[in-house]
Amino acid sequence: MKSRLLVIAGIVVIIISVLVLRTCSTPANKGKLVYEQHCANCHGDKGEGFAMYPPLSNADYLEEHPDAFSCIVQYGLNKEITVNGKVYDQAMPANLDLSATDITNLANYVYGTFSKSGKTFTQEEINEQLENCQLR
Amino acid sequence: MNSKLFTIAIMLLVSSACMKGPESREELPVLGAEEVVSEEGTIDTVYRSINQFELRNQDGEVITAATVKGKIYVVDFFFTSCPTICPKMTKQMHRVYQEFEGNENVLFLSHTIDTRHDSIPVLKAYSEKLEVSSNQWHFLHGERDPVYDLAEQYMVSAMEDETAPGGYIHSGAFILMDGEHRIRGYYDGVLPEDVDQLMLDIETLLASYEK
Repeated sequence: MKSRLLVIAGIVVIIISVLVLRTCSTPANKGKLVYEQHCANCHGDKGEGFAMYPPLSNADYLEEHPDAFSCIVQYGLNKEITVNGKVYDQAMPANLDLSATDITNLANYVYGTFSKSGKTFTQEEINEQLENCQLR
Repeated sequence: MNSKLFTIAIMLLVSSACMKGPESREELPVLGAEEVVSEEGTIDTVYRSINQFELRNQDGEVITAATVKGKIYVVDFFFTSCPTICPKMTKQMHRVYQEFEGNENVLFLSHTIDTRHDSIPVLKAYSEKLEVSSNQWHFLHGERDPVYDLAEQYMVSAMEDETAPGGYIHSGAFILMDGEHRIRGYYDGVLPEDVDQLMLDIETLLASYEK
């Protein structure tokens, strides 16, 4: 009787741990986390954009302006831009609470996920971009 | 035996958690019931009816309760420069709009709570980017106080807050209204499954008017 109880208790523990692990076990990609918290609401989970929010996925603007990435993320953008032939003028808010490290992780996630260019960024590169932002 | 029951209970709990999804309902409740005592002392139930407002839409047209009387309509509160939940809400509302596009009995009322920045031309530009018809989806502008009072009547929150991203805090709720301006349901406008339920409930409400 006791051993049967043990087996049942064991099964319950396994079920619960599988359920818990399923929700928590994905290794955290830091850039992805930043993206989900600060970008995905407008640009979409897959970078697809929507109506007044430009896409990031396969976006020519992203390919042509890797040097502007960190400044746009940090200080926002308040001018008309053309992305894949479509004009966008919805103001993008600043993200002043993001650190240079957050932005480096984000840049690598965005370019690694949504761009075919294979562009990667080092922390030094991003630091330098941020020091020279014109929008500041 | 008890532990067997316990295991079964756990299994049921797990499976019910996985199976929860939108369900078609036969009848929708009327929300916002208020008890009133009449002069003779009898207690009556009166339902909240939100039938006093005058706002302007993205074309500058006056929109009042009379405009939506007899229609089924979905209400929300937002602002165009909102960086947090509004883009998700707008995407979801657009999904509902597409489902009922062209159905003259289903309307959408999106109220801006940023009454300073979101002027009628700003709302017009916003609606044009969404490519929606201004006969069916009204982006509404009004004076600050009447709009905030209206949010209170719909029993959702809307307030200015300098510390919040974008400067405002507001509810992400979609409110389903019937032809008598009564509240028939609340849905979380950022959750696709809640919005699926809203679409089913609109069908239910439409059917109840056909009877």
